[in-house]
Amino acid sequence: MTVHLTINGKEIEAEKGKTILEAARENGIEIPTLCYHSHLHPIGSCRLCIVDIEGYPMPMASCTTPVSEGIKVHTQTGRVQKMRKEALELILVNHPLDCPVCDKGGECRLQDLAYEFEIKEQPFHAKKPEREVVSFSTPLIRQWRDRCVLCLRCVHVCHELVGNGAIDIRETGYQSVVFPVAPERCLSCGECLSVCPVGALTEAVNPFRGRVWQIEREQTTCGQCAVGCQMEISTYEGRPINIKTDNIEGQAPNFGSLCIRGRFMYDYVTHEDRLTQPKIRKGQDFAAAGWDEAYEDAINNLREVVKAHGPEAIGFITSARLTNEDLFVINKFAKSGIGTPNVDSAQRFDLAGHLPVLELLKGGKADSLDGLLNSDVIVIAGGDIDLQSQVVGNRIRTAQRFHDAKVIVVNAFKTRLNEIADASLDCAAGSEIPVFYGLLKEAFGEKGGFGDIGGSQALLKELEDYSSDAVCEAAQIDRDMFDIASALLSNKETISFVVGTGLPQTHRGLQALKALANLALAAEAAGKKINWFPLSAAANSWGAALMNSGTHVDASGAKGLSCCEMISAASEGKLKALVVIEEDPVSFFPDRKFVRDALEKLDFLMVVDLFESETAKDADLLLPSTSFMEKEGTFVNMEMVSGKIRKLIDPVGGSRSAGEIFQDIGRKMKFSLGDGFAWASENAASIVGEVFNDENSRVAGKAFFPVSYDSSRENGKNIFALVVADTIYNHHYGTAASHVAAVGKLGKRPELRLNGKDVRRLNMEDEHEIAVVTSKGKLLFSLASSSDIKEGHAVLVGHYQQTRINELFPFEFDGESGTPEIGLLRVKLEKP
Amino acid sequence: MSEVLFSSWKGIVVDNRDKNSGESESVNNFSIPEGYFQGKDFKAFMGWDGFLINDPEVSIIELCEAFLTKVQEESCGQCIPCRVGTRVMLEMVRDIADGKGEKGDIETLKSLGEMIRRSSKCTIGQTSPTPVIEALTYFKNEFEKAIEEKKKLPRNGTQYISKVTAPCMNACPSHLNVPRYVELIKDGRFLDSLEVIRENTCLPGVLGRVCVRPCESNCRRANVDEAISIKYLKRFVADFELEKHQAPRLPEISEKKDKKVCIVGAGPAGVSCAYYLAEMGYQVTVLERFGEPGGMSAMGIPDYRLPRPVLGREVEIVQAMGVEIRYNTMVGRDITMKQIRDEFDAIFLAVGAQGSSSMRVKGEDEGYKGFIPGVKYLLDINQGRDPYPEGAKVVVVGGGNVAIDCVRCSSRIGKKDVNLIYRRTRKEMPADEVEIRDAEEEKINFHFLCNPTKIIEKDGKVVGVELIRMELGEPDESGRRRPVPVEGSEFVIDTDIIVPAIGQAIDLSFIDEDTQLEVTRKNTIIVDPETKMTSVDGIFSAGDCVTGPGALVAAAGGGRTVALRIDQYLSGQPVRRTDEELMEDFFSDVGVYDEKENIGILDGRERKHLAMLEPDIRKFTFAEVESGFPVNEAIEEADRCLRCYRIGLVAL
Repeated sequence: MTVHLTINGKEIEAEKGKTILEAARENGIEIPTLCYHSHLHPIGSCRLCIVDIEGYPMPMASCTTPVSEGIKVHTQTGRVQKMRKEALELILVNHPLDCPVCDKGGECRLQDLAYEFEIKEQPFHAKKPEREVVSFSTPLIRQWRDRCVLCLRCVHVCHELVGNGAIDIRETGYQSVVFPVAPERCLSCGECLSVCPVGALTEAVNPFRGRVWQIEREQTTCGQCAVGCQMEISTYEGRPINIKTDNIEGQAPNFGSLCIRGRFMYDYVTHEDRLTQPKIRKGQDFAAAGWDEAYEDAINNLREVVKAHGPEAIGFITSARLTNEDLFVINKFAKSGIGTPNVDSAQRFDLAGHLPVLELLKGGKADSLDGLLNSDVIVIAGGDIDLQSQVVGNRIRTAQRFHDAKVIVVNAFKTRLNEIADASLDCAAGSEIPVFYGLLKEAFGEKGGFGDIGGSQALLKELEDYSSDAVCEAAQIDRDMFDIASALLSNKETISFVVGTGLPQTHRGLQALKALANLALAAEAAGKKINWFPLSAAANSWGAALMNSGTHVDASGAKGLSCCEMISAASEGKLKALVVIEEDPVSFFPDRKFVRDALEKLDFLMVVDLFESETAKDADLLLPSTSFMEKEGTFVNMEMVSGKIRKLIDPVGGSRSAGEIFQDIGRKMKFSLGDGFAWASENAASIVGEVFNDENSRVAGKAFFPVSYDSSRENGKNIFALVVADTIYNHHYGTAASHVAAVGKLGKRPELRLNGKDVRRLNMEDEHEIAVVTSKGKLLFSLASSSDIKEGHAVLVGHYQQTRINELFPFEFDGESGTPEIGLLRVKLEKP
Repeated sequence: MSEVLFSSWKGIVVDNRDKNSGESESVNNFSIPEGYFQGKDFKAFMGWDGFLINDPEVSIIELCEAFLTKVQEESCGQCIPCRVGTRVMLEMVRDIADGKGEKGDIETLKSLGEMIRRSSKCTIGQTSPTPVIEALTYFKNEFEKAIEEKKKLPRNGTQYISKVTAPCMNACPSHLNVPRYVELIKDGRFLDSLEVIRENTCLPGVLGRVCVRPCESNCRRANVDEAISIKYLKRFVADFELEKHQAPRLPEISEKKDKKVCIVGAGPAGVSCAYYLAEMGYQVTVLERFGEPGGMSAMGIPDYRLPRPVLGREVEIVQAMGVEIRYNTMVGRDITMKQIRDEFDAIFLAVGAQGSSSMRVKGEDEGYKGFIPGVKYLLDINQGRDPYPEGAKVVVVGGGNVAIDCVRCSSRIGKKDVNLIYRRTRKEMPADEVEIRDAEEEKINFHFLCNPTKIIEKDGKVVGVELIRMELGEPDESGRRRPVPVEGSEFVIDTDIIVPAIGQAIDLSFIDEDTQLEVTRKNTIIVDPETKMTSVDGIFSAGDCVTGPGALVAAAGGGRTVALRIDQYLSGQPVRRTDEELMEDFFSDVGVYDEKENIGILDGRERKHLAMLEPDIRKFTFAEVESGFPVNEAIEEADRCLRCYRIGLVAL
C-alpha cells in the first residue's frame, strides 16, 4: 500500500510501514542521523533526525515515525535545526579531543556532523565522569569509553542480530556506559565494532595502523567459509590493516555482517612464518632454491614417476580455498598435462554428500540465503551454526524476529540457536536417522504415500520401524519436543534445512544426510516449499567441487581417486607421487600416523603452501604460494554465486599463486595449456556458468534415497561418544589459524566437555586432565562440565591443530562419497 | 482543594506568597496529603507537571537540585538530550546553590530545558525540565539573588523522597514496570522483559491472559490513537519462554530465615504472597483445599481463556523456590486453625470468594436437580465433568464474567440451548466487553431486562423458570440505573438447568470460634488498611475475601503487599507502607494519567490484535480461543509505546 506525503514541500510516495527517514532518503532528502543503522530496529537515541510535521506541536524522530497519508513533513525548520545543533553540543560535552590519534579520525560520523553544523564552541559544561577502565567483552576490541556517544548501535546489534547480549548499558544519566555484562557470551564477531560510528570501539588485533587518507581499501570476497561474505580490506604499506563493511552494507549475501574469522583473522597473510622461497629436500633438511631450480626438480620427479609407474601413479590434493582459476589450471595440468584423473580436495568432507541431495531437491542448484528470511520453519542439524558460519546463524535469528520463523534443532549438544528453538531434539550422537525418519513418518507418513516419488513403498515399509515412541527412545529425545517438531513440519508451509558440517562428518553421517533429504522430499511431496542450505568450511568448496569433478575440465570424465583413496593408494604403494596444494592431510585427515606413514612411502611428495604445515615437513619439494589477498580470481559460495577476489597486496616474499606455479611448470613441460590468468579466468567462468545456466539439469523422476541404518554401537563402562565440535575461531583445516594474532589473544585452550553427572561418575573434577583413549592412542585434555552436553557424550572443543584429535580416528571413509568420519568417534575416557 | 504557598501544577498558577492568610487562593487540581507521610510535614512537591510549595522555608533552588539529581538517576542514558542535558542543568543549578552561578545562567537553563522537553525520546526528558523552567520563571528573584550574592545557600536538612512512575505502572495493582518490559520486547529481548515482569508478579502467563488491564485504560498512547496491548505483550513473553523451553530466571533467594508462614488458599493472592516470602527466605506452606492450585483462576476461569498448564507452570516456579503446597487440605477439616497458629509465625488468609450469592427466589434452597450455582458449575466443568448430563437447555442468571464463562462453557460441553438472563441492558453488564462480544459471536441467547421470580420444578427436577420483565429507573449508588420490575409481566421459559451467577460469597466457616476474626456485614474479612492485619495479631488477609469478588491482578497485588507486611512483622520492623508504597498511593491521589492531555505527535499506528479461532469452531472446544502474538507483531506493538515515565519528588 502506498502513502502520499510531502517532505519540505516535495510530494512523495512511500510504502506503508516505512519510516519518514526511509521515505526521505529514498527520495534524496537527507536528514542527519547518528544512531540510525539500516540493519537495526530504529534506536531513536541521538535525536538528530527529529522533524516537524504540520499540525503537531511536538517534533518527532523521523527514524521511528512511520509515514502517514497526507502528512506534511519539514526537515529543516529553525527549531529542529537548533535542537540538532544543541544535541550535538551536548554530545561534545567532554568528548575527548584526541581526533589526531583516534583510529576513526577522518571517517568519524561525529567529526562529520560537528563540521556540518559548524560547531565551534561549547556552550554547555559538565564535570567529566569518572570511569573505571575495564576490558571489553573480547580482547580483540578496545573500548574507549570517553569517546562513546551512547548511540547504542553496538548494544542493539549484539542483542538483535547476534543474539549474544554480551554488552549492555549500565548506570544511568550522564554516568551511563556500555559495559560487557556477559563477556562469556561474546563470540568476538565484531559486529559492534563494525557499527560504531565513532572511535569508541577500535580493533585491538593488529598494531599496524594507517590513517584513512593513507590507506587503500578495496572490496573482495572473504577467504574463510563458503558463505562468500563481501568485505572491504584496508591495506597500508603492503599489509592488510583492517576489514570493514560500512560501505557495502547493502550487498548480499552478508549485508555488512561478518564473523570473527572474516573480520579479525586476516593477518596470517603477512605473518613472518610465510614461506618466501622454494625449498628442496636435502637429506633431513630443506635447502632454499630459486624458482627455476624448484620447477626443474618438480618436472624431473614427476616425469620419473610417469615413466616408471604411469601417470595415474600421481595424485593431486587441492585446497578448497584456492580460486576457481587456480583449480582450473591445476586440473588442466593434472588431467590433460600429466594425464592423471586423480585430482580431489577435502571439500568433499563437507559437500560431497550434498551434491546428490541438491540434484534431487533443487536440480543441482543452490538456494539463496534470502530464502531463510521467508522460512516458516528452519530445521538445523550438524553442529553449531554460529561457530561454523555465524552469518547464517544471524540470518536465522533475523528470520525469527521478522517472520516468526520456528526453529527445530537436531544436535547432540546444545548450541546458541537452541535458545530460540521451538523444538530441541538433543539426540544421541549418531542417532539422527531415527529422528529424521520419525519426523518424516509422523509429519508426512500418514497421509497416504508420497505421490509418484520413486521408492515410496520401500520407504513406507522402512518407516514401520520408526514409531514416535521407538524413535524417542532410540535417540534419547524428549517426546514433547518431538511432537512439537513434527507438528511444525506438518502445519507450516516453507521449510528450510540448514545442514552444518557436523552432519556429513559424523558416524554414518552420509546416511543421515540422505535420511534428512528424504524428509525434505516428503515435505515437498506434501506441498511444502523447501530450501536446502549446506554449510561448508572452505571459501571455495563449491568451486572446487565443480572444477575437480569429472567432465568439466577433462572431457573424458575419468573418475579419479578421492583424497582419502589417494592416501590409501600411497599406503599400498600404488600411488608414487602426490602433489598437495594448500592442504594438510597429516593434521586433518583421520589417523595421523597412518597418513604420515603413507606419505613416507611416496617417491615424491610436493607441497605448495603458504606455511610449513605438518604435511610440508615431509615434503621433497616445498613451494611458497599466495593467499586470497595476493591474487585475482573468483570463489563460488554456498548459494552458487560467483564472488570476485581481488589482489590487494603484492605476493609476500617470492611466493606465487598456485595457478601461476602450475602454469609455469606446464609451460616448461610443454603441455598444451592455455596461457595466463585471462585464459584460466575465462575457462573457470564458463564452467561455473555452464552449471548455473543448465536449465535441463533438473531430475525428471524423483526417488527417495535408500538409507541404511545400523543401530549397533560399542557400549561399555566409560565408553563415550566423542563429538568434535566447532570452535569459535576456526573450524576449517587451513594452516592460517595458527598464524593469526586473534587466536593467541583469545587464549582459548582445548577442552573436553562432559555432562556434570558423567564427570562425577568418573570421579573427576573440572580442569582435571582426562585421557581420551582409542585403539590408535591416547590424548589428554582439560575437563569441563556442561549441562549442554548429553550424558554419555564428550564434546571436544578446540582447533584440530591444537588437539591433534585426528590421531585417534581410524583411517576409514565412506566409499561412495569419500567422506571420512572425523566428527564422531566412540572413545574410552579414563584418568591419565 | 488545598491551601498552599505556591502551585504551578498542570500549568495553573496559584501564588499566595504575598497574600495575607485570609486572601489565599486554594489549589483545585491537587490535594495536599494530610498526615500522609507518617507524621512528617509535607513541605513541597516537584513532579512531571509542575510543583507546589507548602512550607515557606523550602528553598526552591535546592528543590530543583534534588529533583534534577533524581532525574539523572532515572534517566536511562539512551537519548542525548536527557542523558547529558539534564546533567548540564543539574550542575548549573548546583553551581547557583553553591554561589558559583553566573549571569545568563537562568536564560541558558530555560532554553536548554525547552530543548530537552521538545527533543527527548521519552517522557523523563519530555516532562522533567517543566517544573524547573517554571521555578526559574516564577521564582526568578531567588535564582537571581543567589547568582548575584555568590553565597553558598544554607542547607536545612530537608528530606526528599522520590519515585519514578508511569500512568500504566501506577494504575497496576502490582505496579509492574510496564514501560521497561515493553521496551525490552521492542528490542527483541524477550527473556529480559519477562525477568522485569517477574520482579512484580509470579503470574505473567496468567495475567497476560485474564487481567482486567487497568494499565491499558491508563495508557497515554490512547490519547494519540489506541492503547498499547500491554496484556498480550505480557502473555507473549511468558509464552516465549515456554515455547522456547527456556528455564525461568528465578529471583535470587535471600538467606533462609527460621520463621514459618502459613498461607491459606493457593489462589492468585496466596501464590503471589508465597513467591515474595520465599524470595525473602521465609519457609512458606500453602494449604489448598482442592487438588490443584489457582483458586478462582483455575476453578472459575475456563480453559479456553486460561489453559491449566499455563497456571500450573507458574505455580511450579513458585514451588521451585521452596514453597510447599499441601493440596486437598482444608482448614477445619484436615487441620485446625489452632494447629496452624501453633505451628506458624504468621498466617495469611487468602481464601477468596468461592461461594455463590443467593438470588432470593422461590425454590432456590430446595435442592432441585438442575439448580447449580455458577461457581460450582464452572468448577465441575473445569475438572472435566458435565455438571448435569441429563439437562440440555441452560439458563444462566447474571451479567458478570462468571455468568459469561458459564454460558460459553455450556456450549462447549454440548448444551444445545444456552441462555443468559440479565436484569439490566447490555450496556450495564459488568462483564468484560470483549468477553460479551465473544459470547455474542458464539450465538448465546441474551435476555435483557428480566429477572427470575420462581424456579419451576417437576418431581424434584428443574423444568423452567418464571421471569419478570424489568425497566430501568433512577440511578443507584453504583451510578447505574436501577432495574425495576414491571408488574404483571411474568412469563416462563422452559429449561433443564438454572445457573445463578449473580455474585460470589465468602465462606469463612472454617474459622473456629477461638479465632476472634472480625468480619463485615457482607462477611468480608476486616483488615487494617496500613498493616493488612486482621483483628487477630499475626493473621493477615487480602484478595477477594477482603475486598469481595474483584480482579485477579488486585488479588495478586494484595498478596504482594501482604508479603511485605509479614516480612516487616516477622523481622520486628514497624508494619506499615514503605516510602515507595507511600509514593505510589500519593501518585494515585495526584493522578498520573490525564485522559485530556494532548500529546501532540502523529497518530494512526493501529493496535495489533490477536488471531482468534472462528466462533463456529471455538464454541465447541476448550482450546484457547486466542493465539498469542507472532514475534514480529509483538515487536511492532511494543514499538508503539511512548515510555511515559515521569518523576515525582516530595520534600518533607
